[in-house]
Amino acid sequence: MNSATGGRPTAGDNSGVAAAGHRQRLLAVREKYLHTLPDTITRIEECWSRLLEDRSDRDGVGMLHGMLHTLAGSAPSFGLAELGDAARGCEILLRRILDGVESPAGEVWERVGDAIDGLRGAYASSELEERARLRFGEEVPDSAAPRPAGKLVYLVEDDLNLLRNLSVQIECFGYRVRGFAGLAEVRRSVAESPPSAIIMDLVFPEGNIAGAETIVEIQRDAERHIPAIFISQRDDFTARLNAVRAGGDAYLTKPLHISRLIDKLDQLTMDREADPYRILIIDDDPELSNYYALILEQYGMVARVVNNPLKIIEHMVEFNPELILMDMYMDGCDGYELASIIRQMEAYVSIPIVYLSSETRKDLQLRALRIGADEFLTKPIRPEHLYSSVVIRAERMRIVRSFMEQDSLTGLLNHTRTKEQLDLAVLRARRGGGCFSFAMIDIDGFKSVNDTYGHLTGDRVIVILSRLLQQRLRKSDIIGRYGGEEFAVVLIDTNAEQAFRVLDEIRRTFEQVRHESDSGDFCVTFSCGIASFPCFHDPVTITREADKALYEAKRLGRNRVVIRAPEPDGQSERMRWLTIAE
Amino acid sequence: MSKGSGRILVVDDDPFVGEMLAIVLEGEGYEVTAACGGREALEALGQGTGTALVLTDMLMPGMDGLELTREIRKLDGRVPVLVLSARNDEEFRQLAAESGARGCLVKDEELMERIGTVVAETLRGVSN
Repeated sequence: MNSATGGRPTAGDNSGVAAAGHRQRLLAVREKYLHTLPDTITRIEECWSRLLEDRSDRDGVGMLHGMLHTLAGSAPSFGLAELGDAARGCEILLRRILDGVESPAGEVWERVGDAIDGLRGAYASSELEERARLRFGEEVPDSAAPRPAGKLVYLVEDDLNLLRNLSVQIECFGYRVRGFAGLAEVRRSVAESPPSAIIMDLVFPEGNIAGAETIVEIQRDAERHIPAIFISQRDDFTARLNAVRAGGDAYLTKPLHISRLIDKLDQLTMDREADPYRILIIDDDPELSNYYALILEQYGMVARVVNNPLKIIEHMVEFNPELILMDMYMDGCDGYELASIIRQMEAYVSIPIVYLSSETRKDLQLRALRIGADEFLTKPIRPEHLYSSVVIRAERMRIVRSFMEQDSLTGLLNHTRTKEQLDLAVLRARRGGGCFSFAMIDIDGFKSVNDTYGHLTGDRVIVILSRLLQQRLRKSDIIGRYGGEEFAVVLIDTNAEQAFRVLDEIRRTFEQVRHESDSGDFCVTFSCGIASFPCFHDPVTITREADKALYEAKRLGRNRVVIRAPEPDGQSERMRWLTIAE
Repeated sequence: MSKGSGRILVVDDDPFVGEMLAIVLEGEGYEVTAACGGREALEALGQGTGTALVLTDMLMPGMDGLELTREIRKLDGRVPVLVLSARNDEEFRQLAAESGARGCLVKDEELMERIGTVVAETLRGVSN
């Protein structure tokens, strides 16, 4: 099912109406379920207390098992995954008793008791879980199924304070965290409910690399590789080597940067496919260049061919490649000159350039490398060789770029890159004749949030809004952090009214999020101003008008979205301001 | 939005999960009949409304999902049966396969997201 497009109509609006009715039904079932949950828990408790008095009551055990099995099967589908897990753990134990594998007279009964305690705990926190998730906007307009609970992450850390703080922080980002203060329980828990990722400390009372050893055991037992992130104060070679040998996917040193940890988690647990690498192929032989493009596309990359080297600059700007594959000798311009021109441009000073040429003279090959090419491949070339030379460099370029271009707290584009993207959007829209909307979002009263609750909490608010924007907007939309509490969004192929609907929905959701802090819970809102193309025709004007709309939103009382329409002139009948009531 | 077609019989003694599955599958374009137990399911099949696929929970009072699967296979070997359970172990998969089920699904938090795809694939004849 496609993710939220904010109700922007594609073919007729009936799909929107049907989807809304569908969503209503799902919500109604969920409400009913949640309503009956307290009774279900009560019945389980009553059955359990009866059994405590008479363990030999097989029928009673059978009944309790049935109730827990049903709970285990239904809770996850309604967003209460922790409760479901707790029920399942308990149900498994009871099944062993029923099957005769364990005797009720044995110690298994105590484990059942612990499991019931765990169930109570899960139920208690599930109420908060469920309310919090509703606030965070379970109601995605176009989704056909309820939003599933966040991905399960195991956190294994013997420092209890860190365990608690980290769990809370990671959960802010939509993950479910199960914490372990020691290594003993972890393997069994992984076997029973495999997580989407494990965050593992390295050093434990058991030993200096005990964390790595446990991961080795876990991966050996697991059906599928479980992404593992090591965290440690140790930064020495031996520690890192052991982490690599244990099959760790990442290694972060303490004190931890929460945004780096979340980035890694997102990367490792992501199930959608990563954006394909973009490769620009410059070769004046059309057949050959198309052949290389085909090879790379078969490996899942996106390739663009340029046969006329004089056109390279506009292709660089538009296509934004991550690697350039270039022939050395072309009509009109040779490879060395072209590489030098590319390296002149600041944005491309480090872009990987790979030569593909039939040049066999070593001295000329070396000369090519000296002006900044990364690799020299000779034709004819085997497809796998071409692919491997390209992929490793494209991957490195992407990582480097992400450090240069992203805001470190939110992972969104920084101010400069966002402005660049706006320029690009104007360029493309002018050429292609489309429309887009530019919105400026500013958190209301952010300064007093920082003053009252502290900067750490303020940062968390910023991160939550950025995550919400990323969740609700499309991959093709550009989201940037424009300033301290300011965000800028470019919504491609979207007119002002459509942009309004999407952003107003996000505004409503954000308003309901309860932010937690040591000094109490609070809510925050934002104001938003929209200006669109082709209403306004160039980046400077668009920015200025969106800013004016934002200012108007603040003036009108904040917590609203305002569209800026052009001044009425002789031909236009538009109103000066378009503000739609909340 | 709708990409599926055909009638699906959903069998689960838990009315909430049954209803949720029905809503999700109807959203995908299928027609759904719900039954809350094995006997009711067999009755519904007997009415000959052309069921394309049966989705059944494993653990139910009276006739359980595995017995139901065996009965369905006897009635009409062409109708694929998918078994659902909160269990996620090898024994479950084996039991399901032995009774003639075409596949099995775990009742985890991704069930509702996946069910559409799994049903569509089963109907297309892609084996698990």
